Amino acid sequence: MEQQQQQQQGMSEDVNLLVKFTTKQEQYAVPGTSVSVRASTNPSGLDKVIGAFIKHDSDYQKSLPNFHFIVKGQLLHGTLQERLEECGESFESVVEIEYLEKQPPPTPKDSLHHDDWVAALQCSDKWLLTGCYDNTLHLWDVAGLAAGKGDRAHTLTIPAHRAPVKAVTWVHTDTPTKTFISTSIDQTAVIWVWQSETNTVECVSECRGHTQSVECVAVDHSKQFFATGSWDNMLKIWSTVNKGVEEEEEEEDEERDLKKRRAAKKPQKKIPILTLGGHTESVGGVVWTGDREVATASWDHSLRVWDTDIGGIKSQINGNNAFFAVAWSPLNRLLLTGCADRFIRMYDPRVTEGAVVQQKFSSHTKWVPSVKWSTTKEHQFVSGGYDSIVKHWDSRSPKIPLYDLTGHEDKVLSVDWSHPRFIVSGSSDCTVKVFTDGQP
Amino acid sequence: MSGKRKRQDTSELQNNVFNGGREINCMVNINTEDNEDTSDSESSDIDEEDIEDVSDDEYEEEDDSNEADSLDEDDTDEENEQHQEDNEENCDTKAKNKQHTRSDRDSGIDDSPNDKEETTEDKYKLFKSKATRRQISKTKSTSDKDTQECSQDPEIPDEYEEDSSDEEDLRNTIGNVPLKWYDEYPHLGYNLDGKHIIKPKRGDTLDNFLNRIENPDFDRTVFDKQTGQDVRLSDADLDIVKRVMSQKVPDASYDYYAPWIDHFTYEVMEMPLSGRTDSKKSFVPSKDEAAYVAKRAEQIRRGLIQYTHKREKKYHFYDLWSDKKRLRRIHDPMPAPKVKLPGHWFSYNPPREYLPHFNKPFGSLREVPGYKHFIHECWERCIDLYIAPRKRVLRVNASSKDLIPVLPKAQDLQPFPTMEGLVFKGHRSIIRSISIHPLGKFLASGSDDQTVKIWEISTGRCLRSFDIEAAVKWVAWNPSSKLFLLGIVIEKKVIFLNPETYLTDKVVVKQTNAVFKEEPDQGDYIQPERVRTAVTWRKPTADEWAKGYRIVIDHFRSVKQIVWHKQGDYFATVIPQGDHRSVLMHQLSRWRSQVPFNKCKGLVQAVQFHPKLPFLYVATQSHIRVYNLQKQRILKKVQANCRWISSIAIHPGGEHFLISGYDCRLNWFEMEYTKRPRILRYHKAAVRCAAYHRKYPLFASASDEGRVIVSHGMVYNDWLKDPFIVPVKELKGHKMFEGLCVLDVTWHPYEPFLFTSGADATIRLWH
Repeated sequence: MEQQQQQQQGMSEDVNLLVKFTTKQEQYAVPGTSVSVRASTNPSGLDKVIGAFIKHDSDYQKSLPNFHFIVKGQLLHGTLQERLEECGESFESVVEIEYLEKQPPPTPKDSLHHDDWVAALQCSDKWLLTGCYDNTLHLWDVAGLAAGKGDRAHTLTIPAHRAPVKAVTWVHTDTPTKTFISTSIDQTAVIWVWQSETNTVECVSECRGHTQSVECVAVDHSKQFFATGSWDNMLKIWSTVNKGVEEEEEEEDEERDLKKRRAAKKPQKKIPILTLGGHTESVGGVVWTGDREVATASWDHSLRVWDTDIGGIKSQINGNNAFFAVAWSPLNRLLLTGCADRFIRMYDPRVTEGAVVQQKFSSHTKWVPSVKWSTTKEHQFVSGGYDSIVKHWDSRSPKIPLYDLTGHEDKVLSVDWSHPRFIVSGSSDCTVKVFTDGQP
Repeated sequence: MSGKRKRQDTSELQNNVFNGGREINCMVNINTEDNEDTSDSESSDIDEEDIEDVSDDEYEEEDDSNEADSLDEDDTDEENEQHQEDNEENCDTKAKNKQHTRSDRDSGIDDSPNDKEETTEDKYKLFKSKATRRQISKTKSTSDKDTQECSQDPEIPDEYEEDSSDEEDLRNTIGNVPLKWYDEYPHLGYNLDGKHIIKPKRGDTLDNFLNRIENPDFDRTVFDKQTGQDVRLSDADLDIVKRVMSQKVPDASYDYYAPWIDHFTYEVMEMPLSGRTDSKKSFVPSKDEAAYVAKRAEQIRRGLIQYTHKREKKYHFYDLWSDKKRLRRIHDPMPAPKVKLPGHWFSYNPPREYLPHFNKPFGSLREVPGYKHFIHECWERCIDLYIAPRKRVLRVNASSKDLIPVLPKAQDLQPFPTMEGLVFKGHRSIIRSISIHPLGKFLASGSDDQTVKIWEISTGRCLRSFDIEAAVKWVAWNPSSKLFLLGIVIEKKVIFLNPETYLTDKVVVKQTNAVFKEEPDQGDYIQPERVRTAVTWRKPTADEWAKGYRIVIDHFRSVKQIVWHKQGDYFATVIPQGDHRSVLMHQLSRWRSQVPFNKCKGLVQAVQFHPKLPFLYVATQSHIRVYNLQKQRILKKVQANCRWISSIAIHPGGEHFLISGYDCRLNWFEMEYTKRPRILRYHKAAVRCAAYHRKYPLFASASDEGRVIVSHGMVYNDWLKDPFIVPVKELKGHKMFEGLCVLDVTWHPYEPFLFTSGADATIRLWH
């Protein structure tokens, strides 16, 4: 057989390969026999093969979906031959192909209009929180978005800050009393409590300590702490819990009216639990990678993992470019970073030496200021770039994203996939686009 | 033998039969006469005879040999009859063997054994006559042959004529066997009749000796083993021998210098001599050509192709002498006198025109004086050779390609900006100047639309916009970390603006405000007249303060530039039309100004502080002067190699600086060696400005053609090593507006990002 294959290889380019199909989706399982397939087969060709296989072996009566095929750890886009040549694999051994059902593409659901650039957003299970460059926060009803209500889903506008909002995050979303945090160029992070039933919002505490714009915020899994990164190169850890009323400082005149607007109750002033200095340039992204572990991405070309117990650096990964954003998934424990050179890089925080870049995703044509892992799918993530495209990626397909989500007319500043069903993106064209992820 | 040959033989035979008698008679006559008369008469005799046929001729010759043969046996008296008989009898055989006789005739058989009594002299005579006759007859015959051949059938040569394939001596029929087999016998072979050929008696040594003395032909006599006889070589034979010995062509008639016919010539012949038959294909008309011709014909018919024959331009030269009539005007023209050819006399009396100062002609060579420096020059040359012997210098065999330095790959020089990252849109007019805050987060830009805007670098968002009352010419952030202050130049004013809120640390903002709230105490300081008339510091009005103004400095003429010292306390302003007060130095903390130079030669274009030392670089139109501010004296004056300087940039190391000029050139100077700058001719239009990166070995230059060129400029600590300059990237993106394009370039303080502001009201970030 091998000789025959070699002869065929010599004679023509089209070689027959022995492949073996495996899957993790049981409803599409096929017996593990190896099949001979032409090397020039592309995914659609394999689709037919596997379709025939499934129909032959099982009593699967429904119409079959299309499949993705994973060859040697990466999604197959071209032909089998190209993929194998890329890996430097021989054509003689049995090639194992994993297949999984192809998702339908995300569908654009809604476009939410804002008055200014949307710098930050996060979706909880029922509410979408957006932060704007006009110093306001907005709350949107997710159910309304799903129904396609558009701007009617808008629930609340909060004139939150004295300068553009840079980052927002939900803290507690379970009870009717919900908590979220917003940070801004005005050098503060503010904890808000929102009564969803009465639709009233209250500024619980104002976190002061940063001397420059607070660029990013992240809440830990226990919802007790949150970390903020700022342009002043500092990482600060704060508590979400209020511990009694502190002494009030004298307020300046200009802040007074804002306070009045915010709430009758004066917000508590908070000081950080911990200040971690070490970055030489501003911190662009922060993410909790464990109970007591924070990872930061900085403009000084480094990724650092901090231990909040000790209050020091745990490990450091050096890159070649300024990092703008970082994302971490508990499913695969990998870091994704958006860089100043249009590539998305995947790092394993445990690997700090040698080839630290696990994967480089190249499809964006400009800077990528935000990336987010899917909360439910191990291999999928979204990214938004200054090329005004949101891209839906599979981490096993480094060159070609699964889907390009277009619609924005200007730079995409932030994306979010916290709600498993919704991919939301905020842009400098003053809109938030909502896409429903294809899987029902 | 072939049949053809046989046929020919028979014809010859017939000829013999018809003509033989007469010939033989004649021959007999000759032979008889031969003994008595001279060869001349004989030859004349033969002349009378006309031998008509080739075969006849040969036959006749053959007769000779036969005659000689017959002499062996018969007496001379009986010779005639005998011969006749022989002739008739052996007709057949002789005719057959006519070819072989040729060799016989040449070798010429000596006298018969019976004639041994005859004196050698007689023999010689006989032989000689025979030989001559033979020769003559031969020449005759050949000439006849030629004529006959020509007349009969000149085209078909007789290929057997010269055949010598089986030449044998047929007088002895033993064949090709060793003669020593006959050593024991009295005979040495058999003749044609099968009779013994008796060995001739050889004389003893004495005979031999006598023969040598007496026989004049001894030296030309050879012994023929085949027949056992001495053979006397004829003159023709000797001639051939001599020719062979001297390695010439044996044939005397061979013409060495005959005109050469080159059959296989390099010249392309019209009808090449090729025996090859034409291929079958060559007879089939080409379909392609037919189609092409048809197509062309159709096109011509339709008038698609019009052949306009280009007439070759013929140059007509007027031939003066061709016009005979013209010459005819001069009747009986007399030719010009012939000049005497230069002779020996001319060698020492050159024509006058060659030696103008030479007035004395020499009568003879003797009178020419010797060259008076001759000895001296010889001596000099000897000394020269002795003291400075020539050295062989190896020439360097280097091609021009080898001399070009090997440029590294652009990838190896990364990072450098390669593509457009962000476009900052918002201004409505030409952006004259941009400046980046030292912390690298904000960008300030001043535009002709009378606004100053502050941008967030990471997103390209305009955070603040300030309306200024006039077009902004220059913006510069204060480099100090303790002050948050933007210097703005409009017309005659320099304004210091605090953009305030939230852009930086509140403490810094407050501090900045606090510093400028009160006018500093001047104490006893009295401003000199020269300064007071030039500059006025003032506090802004309440409105202006609300707008963010902190200090306003009014100048006497319009200001072009403001340059901060690295500590942020001192700054310099440039007033190009300020005559001797073109450059002003100011101290921010004490609100003081001074005019550092009493005189300023030329129009000052730009000034720049040294990044480390208290030096000030002042660039006028074509010169750069470096001043030491501490010692208050000029340090260096540099010829800029440039007609009109547009800007000056100083390397962060301080040892190098870059001059951009409106004459499209960029000059890289080294402080230690300013005589010869490195001229970078990248641009094709006026270079507006150039800038060094503070951290990376990069610099960028922008020109009016719309290109920004990013170069790698590595500077080494080793002073002997030249800076390594490689242009790495050309950035294009700005649009032209009113002939202007890129007006300012700035580098990010620590990232390899380049910012360019353009006449198209945009700022672009390149990464």
